[in-house]
Amino acid sequence: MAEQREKTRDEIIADWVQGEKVKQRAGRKKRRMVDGEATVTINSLMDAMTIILIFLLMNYSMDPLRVDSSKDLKLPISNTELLPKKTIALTISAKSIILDGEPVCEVKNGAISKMDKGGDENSMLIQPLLTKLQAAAANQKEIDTRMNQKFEGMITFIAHDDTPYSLLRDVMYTATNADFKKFKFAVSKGGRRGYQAPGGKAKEGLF
Amino acid sequence: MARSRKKGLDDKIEDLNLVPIMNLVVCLIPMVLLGTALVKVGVINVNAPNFGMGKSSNENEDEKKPLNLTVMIGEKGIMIKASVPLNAIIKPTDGVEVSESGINIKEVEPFRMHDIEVGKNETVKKPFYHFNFPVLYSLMAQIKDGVKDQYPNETVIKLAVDSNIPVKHVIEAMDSIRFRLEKDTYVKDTEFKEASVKYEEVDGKRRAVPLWPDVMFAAKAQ
Repeated sequence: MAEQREKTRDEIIADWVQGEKVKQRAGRKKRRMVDGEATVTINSLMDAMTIILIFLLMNYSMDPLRVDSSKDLKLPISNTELLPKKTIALTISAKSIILDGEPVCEVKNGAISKMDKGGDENSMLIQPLLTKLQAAAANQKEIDTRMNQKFEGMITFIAHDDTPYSLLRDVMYTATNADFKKFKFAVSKGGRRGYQAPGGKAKEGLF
Repeated sequence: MARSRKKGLDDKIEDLNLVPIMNLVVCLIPMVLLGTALVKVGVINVNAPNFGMGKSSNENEDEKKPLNLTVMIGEKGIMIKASVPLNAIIKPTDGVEVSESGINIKEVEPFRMHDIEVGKNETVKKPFYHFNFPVLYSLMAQIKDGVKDQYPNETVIKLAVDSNIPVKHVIEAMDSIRFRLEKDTYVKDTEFKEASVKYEEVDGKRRAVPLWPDVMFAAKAQ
């Protein structure tokens, strides 16, 4: 401690002078930079970013139908121009059936298990789905009567493009039984229609 | 503290420090971008199928015998049926068999098995159907023109599909029959796939020219 104090006593003034000099130099440099305006202005970038952010947020919130495509849920391509409406959404992916974000039953190899069909494989009625759909329909009817609207029975199917028609038919049949009459199919707007054979094996001018 | 305040007053122009906000925005934009679905989603309106015993959506039964135009899509090709004889309306076309009972569009290449990728280095053999949709569209346009005197307001078409046909081909079929395209006949598949819908002006509104826009699923007798 004593050694340290001695040392500082000796050098304190020199150090202080040195420090002041450095500070002065830095200050001079800074002032010079301000004079020459050599700083990067990020204001314009900020403007652009804010506009992009607002635009994205608007898009994000205005979508009435949100589809998160994945390997198990790829929408079929179509050239339709109708826009989706806010309705009850029923997703048929390669692995499960989901009603408004809530999983209802499992799908295996494009079919519903025998148990979910009430023990009869040939039955078109999917029991758990029927219960959920009836509840959803009752709920929607309640909302519609409060809002003085007519219950339209509209439902949007978001179906994976490789779903066999038999599964879709069963789901549609179940929906009809739950009082849904107007169906909408969600598709991805590709601006064209039709598919190419996988692996690009389709010949030019096949037909 | 005192010194810095003094300095601030001296310099007068002190830029707002936007760097933290910038950081925030730069983080938010990729987040929202990832959240937004890049696929544009559209819808196709369809009427509920008329399942014999189920509740019917067809409330207004016509007094006149309906046209009952039905398109059947199966593994062997496409069949078209109607309550009027179609062989008088249809021009003979390659790959199309016209008889009293209906029209049969044969599949040009019967469905083939294709390797479809499932995960990494794993493929599954799956059928890929080659339906002759250009011819289906051409026939639909011919039928529309052929029956327009008898059924001027008919827009309903029934679609009966075999159990194992994938949904994408059902949608493809609906795309081929709902609206009129630029030309009335297409021969080449590629040309047909790229053709866009024809538009007309009705009361100052631009709309697609309908062909058979009201698709209804028919429940096939099991």
